[in-house]
Amino acid sequence: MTTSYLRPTTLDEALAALATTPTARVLAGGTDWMIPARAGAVPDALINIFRVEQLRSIRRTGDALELGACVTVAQLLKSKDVLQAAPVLWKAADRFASPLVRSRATLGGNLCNASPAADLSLALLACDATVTLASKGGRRSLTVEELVLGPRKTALGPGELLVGVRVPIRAGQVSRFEKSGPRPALEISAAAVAFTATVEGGRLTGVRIACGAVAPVPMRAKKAEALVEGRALDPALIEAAVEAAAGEVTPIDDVRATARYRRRLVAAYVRRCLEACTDDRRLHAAAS
Amino acid sequence: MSQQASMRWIGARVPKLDAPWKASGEVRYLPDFVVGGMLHGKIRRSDRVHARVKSIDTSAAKKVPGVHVVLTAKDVENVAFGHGKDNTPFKGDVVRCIRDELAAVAADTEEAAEEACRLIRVEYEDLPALFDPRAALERGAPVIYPEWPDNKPFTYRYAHGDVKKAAAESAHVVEDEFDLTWVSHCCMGTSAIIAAFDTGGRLTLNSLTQVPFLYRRDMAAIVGMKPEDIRVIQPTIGGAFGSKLDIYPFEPIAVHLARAARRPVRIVFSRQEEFLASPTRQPAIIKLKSGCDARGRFTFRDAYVLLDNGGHTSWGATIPFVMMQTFSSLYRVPHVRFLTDVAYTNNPYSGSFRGYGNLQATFAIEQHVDRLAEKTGLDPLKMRLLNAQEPGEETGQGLKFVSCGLRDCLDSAAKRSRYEEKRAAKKGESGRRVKRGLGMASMLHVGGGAKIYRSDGCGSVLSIDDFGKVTLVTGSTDIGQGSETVLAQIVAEVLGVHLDRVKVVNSDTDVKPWDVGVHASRTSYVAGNSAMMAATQAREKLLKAAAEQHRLPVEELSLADNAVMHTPKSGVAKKLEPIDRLVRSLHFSDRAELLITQAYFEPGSVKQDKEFRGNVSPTYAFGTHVVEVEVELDTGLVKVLGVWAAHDVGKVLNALGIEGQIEGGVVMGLGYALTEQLKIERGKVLNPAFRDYHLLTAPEVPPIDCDYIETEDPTGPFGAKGVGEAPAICVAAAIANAVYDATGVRFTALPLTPERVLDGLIAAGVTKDVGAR
Repeated sequence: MTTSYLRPTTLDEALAALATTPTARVLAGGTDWMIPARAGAVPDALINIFRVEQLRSIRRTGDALELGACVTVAQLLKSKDVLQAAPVLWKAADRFASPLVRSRATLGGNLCNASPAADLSLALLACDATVTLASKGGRRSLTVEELVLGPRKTALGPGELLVGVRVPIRAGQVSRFEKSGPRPALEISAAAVAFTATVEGGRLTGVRIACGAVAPVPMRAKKAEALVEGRALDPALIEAAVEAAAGEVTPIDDVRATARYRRRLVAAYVRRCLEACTDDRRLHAAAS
Repeated sequence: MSQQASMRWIGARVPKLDAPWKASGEVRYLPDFVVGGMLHGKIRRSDRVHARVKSIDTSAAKKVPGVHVVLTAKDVENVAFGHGKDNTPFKGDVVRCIRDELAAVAADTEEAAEEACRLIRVEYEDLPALFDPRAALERGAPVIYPEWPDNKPFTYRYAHGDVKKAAAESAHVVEDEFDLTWVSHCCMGTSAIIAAFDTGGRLTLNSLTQVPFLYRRDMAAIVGMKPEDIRVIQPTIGGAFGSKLDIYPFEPIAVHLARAARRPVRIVFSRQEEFLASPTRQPAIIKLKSGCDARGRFTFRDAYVLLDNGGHTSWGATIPFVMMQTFSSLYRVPHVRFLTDVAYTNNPYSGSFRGYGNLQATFAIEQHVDRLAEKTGLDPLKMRLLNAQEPGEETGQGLKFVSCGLRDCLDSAAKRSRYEEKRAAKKGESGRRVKRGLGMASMLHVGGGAKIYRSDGCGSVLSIDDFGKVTLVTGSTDIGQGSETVLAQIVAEVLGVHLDRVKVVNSDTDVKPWDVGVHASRTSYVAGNSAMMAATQAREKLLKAAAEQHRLPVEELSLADNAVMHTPKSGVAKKLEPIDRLVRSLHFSDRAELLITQAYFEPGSVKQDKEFRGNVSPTYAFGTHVVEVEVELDTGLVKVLGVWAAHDVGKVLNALGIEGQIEGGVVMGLGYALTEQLKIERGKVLNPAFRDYHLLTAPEVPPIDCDYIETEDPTGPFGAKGVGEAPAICVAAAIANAVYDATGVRFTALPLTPERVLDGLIAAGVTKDVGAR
């Protein structure tokens, strides 16, 4: 039974509360938390940070987009800055759950819940985002890969709170977000791919291929990235990268899909992403 | 046509009468009901699929504060019930599937009842289990019921003609095995009941049943009462689709709890419980062989169907009744053989579900039509037209088609979808990784009930009060399909009154006359005819009284605008007297007569003989769907771009209501075809939640265009026939045919999930596999 429930309204209050009760469970939108809670999995102490206004802002600075941990998916979708500066994040948000869930689910919650199928984490991984963790003792920055250690497992220390996300803005970047159907949204991904790159003179640079629901954590297909980095794409190279990506993911069978199908989806999605880069018309669509 | 033009209510777009209350949230569904002193009931179910129950310890459960009673099989007279008489409210010695009821608790709160259920300790001894009906029929298979050592409680055999001879003489023969799986009704309202005894020992059930009179009789037998001592009240029902055609154990359990606790007891299923413990659509394995002659005329059909009965019997076991009609009579087929075995397993069991086996049968048959068309070199549309049924036909099984619009349905769906044109043109239009295709399928279903019982009738009592308000008390039930509105329209049309003057009462067995219930697409037809008879008698009484009072020939009188109209020979109609005044004048005259009529309509159908022959319904519904799909070759995703439906509905009664029926049915069919599956592994349900049980949502629903073929059935009310089940039936078959058209790959199992489709595309070499280690 929950015996302690705090609802701070400022970041300092939240960090102080967390310092006092480091074992407390942090609650934001609650969309991942309510179902197990209803089934009886309630922690002793809860700190609800959903009303901390400082954590709900979206700011665009010169070279980055700064997002508070409690920015909701609905907020992301309404933001022109997100659409322009981090389109892959916007696209992931556009395929995220249902309008009801979107109005509660937060960016920080999606990261800290550390689901292998977390679509927003995947998009953040593809745009080299860093996260800021704060505690009474100070702050530190981690990459998404450093933060998410395994299913439901993060690098958050006792008393630490994820407070924000920083997405670097890269001019001329193209991006795609591919996720399994059959429903366009309201679907836990059987596999998803978030892709970003810069295309100049037919060559790809800064390629990021992030794959979701195909490993214990959202992962980058680094062998595939290395194959295409700095090179001009041709069908043989694309197929080689597709093979590489499908080979380096480590999916499992579960109620939503088999490992075999997940691998095939990664192949299909990586191929779509790369082919789009060879086609001016689709490239334009991917950049928008 | 002149009659049509003058009709005010029939064919109009009339919103459901209860729509404003549903939209505003004022309608109270069963979980909103609170009866004074009511307790909450919860059921403890088996978590084993097949086991001997060694002991059930309820001592800790009984100590939970707020718990009134805890019952197990030992505490009640546990009467067997159901079509196979193999189900009981509680399971005492053996559990045979995952949902089996072991104990139940009635407590002050749902939480206390749940807590008590958790604390019940059950000791099991696992028994060898069966999960595949094929394995169940093998020699030496574990036996699920000692009474059925072969695990085969039911067999159905039907035949006409000589299939062997016809097969030998056919120019083309195709053969396939089709595999249809479990899906759930997914009613918005979960299963629920309130059982309350009054001081006199009479039992009132607030129940969601769709067959209140049969329910009352069956319930009486289970709980040891007389049927007349049970009153069934049906509150607004949040969807049924056949799921409430049978009694399920939670219902007598509620009665047993109420009796033991001497308090009213309410049971409401959680959503998870609804997935686990409400009936499913019957899974089926269909081995089908079909043939035609060189010109494309069907010669024979030979079907063997194997049904997985699960651990107990509900209506799922009886779907062969409907399946065989489709095999024997959807087209003219001179030689048909149909054999079905029903096998016990330790899987969940199935009930009735919109279409009642017809979705399964049609999925197989309509794919075979396309396969034979291809072999013959005929276009699938021409193949169907060549073999289509026509009015006046009596089929090999004895079904009589008084009206039949199948040809018009085929033509209309093909024309509006530009079927031939698009199929001819599509080769060039498809993208490299996306292929488009069109598919077609037709259906046949009963359109005016099915005489499964000795009576398939419906009673009506109609009265007109002193203020001109018309009350129709009908035996029929509205489960959300809109029958209440249609019956009001029929009455308003016959009596020439405004719709807002008509009230339909249909929810209380203490008040309403007999009706079989909602099944077999019968309510508009049977209850409609019954209401029309009662209204016509009232009309005649009114006109006769007006004629006498005004000394006018009755032929010059009619009813319209809430009044008696007088049309003198070669003159203009004039209002003679408002109906309410006429009713009052009858009431307060020396005759002192109230305007009350009653009618009982029994359709002219017959109960089939032992060979399953006979005209089981007075009329039949036909339809054709064309669907256009896009298949992603790299992911296997099937997107439906459009559905063009045409349905022989006899006559449109409510233009808005029928649109809802058709669209809802098509969406249900799309879910069956593409996304829905209750995933059951080793008897356990893996996805008992909407998160993992995929219903289609609004963005995936394609435009649905429907044309209504009005064949004006001479026996239907205003010519109408039933359409409740029809629109769900041929969707999956049309989609499978469209996917074949797009990709050249045939799928014989559902649902066509992207994973299944991609597996098929890769196996056929359409898509190159990549990345698979």
